Amino acid sequence: MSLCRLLLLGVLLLPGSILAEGTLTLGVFAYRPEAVMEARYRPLAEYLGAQLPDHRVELEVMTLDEIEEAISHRRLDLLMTNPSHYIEIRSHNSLTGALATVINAQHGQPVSSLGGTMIKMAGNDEIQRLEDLAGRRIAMPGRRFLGGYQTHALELMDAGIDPRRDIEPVITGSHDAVVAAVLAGEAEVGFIRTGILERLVIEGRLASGQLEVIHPQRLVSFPFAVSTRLYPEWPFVVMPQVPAETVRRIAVALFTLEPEHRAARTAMIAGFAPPQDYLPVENLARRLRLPPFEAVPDFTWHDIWQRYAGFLLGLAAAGLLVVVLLVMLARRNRQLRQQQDRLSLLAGVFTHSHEGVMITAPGGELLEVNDAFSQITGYARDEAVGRNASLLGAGRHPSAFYADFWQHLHRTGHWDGEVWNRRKNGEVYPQRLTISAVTDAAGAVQRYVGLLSDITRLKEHQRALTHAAQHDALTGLPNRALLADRLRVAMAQADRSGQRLAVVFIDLDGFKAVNDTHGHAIGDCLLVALAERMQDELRASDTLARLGGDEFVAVLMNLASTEEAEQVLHRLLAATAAPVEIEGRCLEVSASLGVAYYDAAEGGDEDQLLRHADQAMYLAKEAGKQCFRVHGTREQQEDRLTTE
Amino acid sequence: MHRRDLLIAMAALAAAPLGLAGCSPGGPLAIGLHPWPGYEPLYLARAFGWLSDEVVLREGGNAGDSLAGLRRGELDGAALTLDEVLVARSEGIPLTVIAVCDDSVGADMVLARPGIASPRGLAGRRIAVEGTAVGNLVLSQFLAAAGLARDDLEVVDMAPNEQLAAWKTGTIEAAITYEPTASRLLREGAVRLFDSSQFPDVILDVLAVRRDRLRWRGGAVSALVAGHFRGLDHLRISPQDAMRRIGAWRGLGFDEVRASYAGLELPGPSGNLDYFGPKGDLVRAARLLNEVMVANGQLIGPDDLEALSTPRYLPDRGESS
Repeated sequence: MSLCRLLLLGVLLLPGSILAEGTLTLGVFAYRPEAVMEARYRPLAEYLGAQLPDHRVELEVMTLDEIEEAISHRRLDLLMTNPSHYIEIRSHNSLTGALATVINAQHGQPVSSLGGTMIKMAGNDEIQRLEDLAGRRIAMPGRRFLGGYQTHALELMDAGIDPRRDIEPVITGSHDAVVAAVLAGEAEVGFIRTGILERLVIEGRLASGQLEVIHPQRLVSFPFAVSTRLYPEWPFVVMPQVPAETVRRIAVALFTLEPEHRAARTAMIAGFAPPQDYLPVENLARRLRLPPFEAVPDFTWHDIWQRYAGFLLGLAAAGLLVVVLLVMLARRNRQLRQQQDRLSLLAGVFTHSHEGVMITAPGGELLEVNDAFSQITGYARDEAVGRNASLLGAGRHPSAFYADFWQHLHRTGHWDGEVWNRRKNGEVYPQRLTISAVTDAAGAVQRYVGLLSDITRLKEHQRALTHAAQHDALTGLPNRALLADRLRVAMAQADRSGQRLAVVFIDLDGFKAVNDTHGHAIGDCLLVALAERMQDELRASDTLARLGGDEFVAVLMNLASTEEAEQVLHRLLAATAAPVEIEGRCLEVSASLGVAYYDAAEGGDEDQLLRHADQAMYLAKEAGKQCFRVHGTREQQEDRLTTE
Repeated sequence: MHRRDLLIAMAALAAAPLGLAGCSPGGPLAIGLHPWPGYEPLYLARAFGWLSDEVVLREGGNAGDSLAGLRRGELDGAALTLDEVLVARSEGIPLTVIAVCDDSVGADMVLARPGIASPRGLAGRRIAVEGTAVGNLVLSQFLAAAGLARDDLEVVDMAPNEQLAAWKTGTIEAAITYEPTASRLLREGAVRLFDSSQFPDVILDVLAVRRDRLRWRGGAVSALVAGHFRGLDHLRISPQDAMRRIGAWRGLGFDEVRASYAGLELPGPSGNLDYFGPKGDLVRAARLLNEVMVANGQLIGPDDLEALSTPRYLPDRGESS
């Protein structure tokens, strides 16, 4: 069974091997004009055909695209193309191998390397170095030409110029056209492969010296001007479908081709050498991301780590440092802002307080004062700071006061009270002062903080209040409360001196009629006028008080005799009875007086004395008004009045 | 305003760790270098801009210039032969090997005028020998192999860069030499009588740096070694390009440059690792050199081989291609 299968396999394979013999197609990349290439390589094809029994070798000069098309249809058996194209083809079909590398024989010196030549018009001094190529119009046969673009591109990359973006390409299709473009001025620079320049000169199509080479390389044993590094010459490629026996024969034919042979001379080669290492071309394609390396390689995290571990660690450390510092900064900022807010709050209290604030050294030297201090004391900050707080003193307090003050302060660390101080302008004023000692941890006094407020107005107000409480608002005379006070004092005095004291109750007659007729305003004016008159009739030691309405009380002190009292009473009666002119009206009232004498031996209090005077006043009213009656001596008084 | 100043200061502070990765507070690493095929990768790296700014190559005419620079303190390291490293160490310069550039397997040779067909034919002739350990080492190995004594020859102390002129004027009839002078002499018709392929893994060309000048400069040293290997990579995969450049620098043809590498092994990053470690070739070669050099009086006593080499600046094997 297996034998049958083997036989069948052999029969099937037989026609294939027979078919493969016959015609071999040699494709050659047309890096120069097709006619030139045809003429150059036809003898080589014929030579190979002659060396291979039963085979004919057909030459086809093709573009790179045509070559690929032909390979995919298996129409090519042998191929001569540029190395980078070979790398690309091999990537599609890895069984494709370079059988040999061409030995170039132009210029008589055999070389199996090629490179790129950068040309410019002779005398163009603008372009000297590779770096000068940035932004230039550059003619090139095409991006897929190894010697016509790719070798140049690598040098540009090494010089920091992006060959895809930083230059303005002029694609001409062939090396000859590149030279023509540079000569015609269509491009400032031309990229061609090595050997072209020299070939054109030999062919008489270019005068030597017309063009100059940019970035020439110093290489020994290389007959061509070159601007780039060197790469292996073209490979002679055998497609995988060619039988091994035929391949061996082709190899023999290639390696035995002598430089003097017509096929070699016409093709301008010195024969073929064992295939060179095409790795430099592969590396070039890798660098330039040319096919088959156009895909960006997968770049894993591991690769990144392998390559940039130090940098990444540094970056991470730097980032961490930044974060830590930023956090620290933010925290510090927040603390500062809080402290600033607190300080400005406190400073605001210090600055805007209406209470004067002073801070002194333990010895009393002023360290700091606020605006209110200056307003109260009259000393500006500059005048106050550095001087002793004692400059504020008015000297009104006895030295015992200050001794007490210091003692209290030392003992309790605090003192508050009222002191008399002197302003800068000399004015003495009352001041409320609160002093607190600021101590350190050990309890030693660091400084004193004093709060001072001017209480002049407070004092005045207090006085006004006291006055209002003791005096009648209308007439300004003492009121009942002050009267009682004065009376008590007077009674005590009379007790001591034994002199007479009289209380006179004065009630106006006909006052109600004035009020009713002329209104309360006129009545009030009348009361004021009469109060003044009565006051004028009294001695300085006497007191006149208003109890309310039209009731007044006079306290007559230090009376030597009853007569002296009666003189006063008469004067009072006269004063009240005299007409008063108010707002053009002549008003007339009178007064009824009740008198009570204080008898120290008899005793009794001020209320009793007033009551007695009041009762006496009623007697005077009953007696027909405008007279006086003395308590306890009714008849006598009555008599005296009637006689008048 | 204060806050802005603070922010700027903090930004600078924050950026500082980034800068640390690429900065050498001690200034660029100054490395002495002289023409020698094994050191060409560094020249290539410099030509292609592959060397970091942290590394400065100070070019001298020969190894003696580099040693002098090290003694004067101007150099932080140099490309030297291992025996020169031992000499420098014996003088108190604390060198440590960080990479092996090449291993001479024939690159050091004894050349003689045509007509002197055998080593014995040199007896009584003037031979130029560089007064270095390698010169003496090759001479001693040559004398031993030829069965001659030192007094049989008229030894002239002459560095290779002076040998071509002396050869042309007829001052010398033989020379112990190496590239690029060797190729030039061979072009003049010199005949090779003996070379280092007879005693491999002894003459090593290395990159060595001063241990006392490495603080904060690990990155620069790694960059130096990486530059060497990148240049070596170019030499390996693009010899057509690299050797033509070297030829242009040294006045040699392409084939002569290629020939100059015939006697050298240039170990890559992984090959380099084999030289390091307690059982590596570096220690073995240093022990042999200790013997020869003490015997010849070039070292007063054997080197203790303490901290002779460190592989820490070699690229990770995973990264090498």
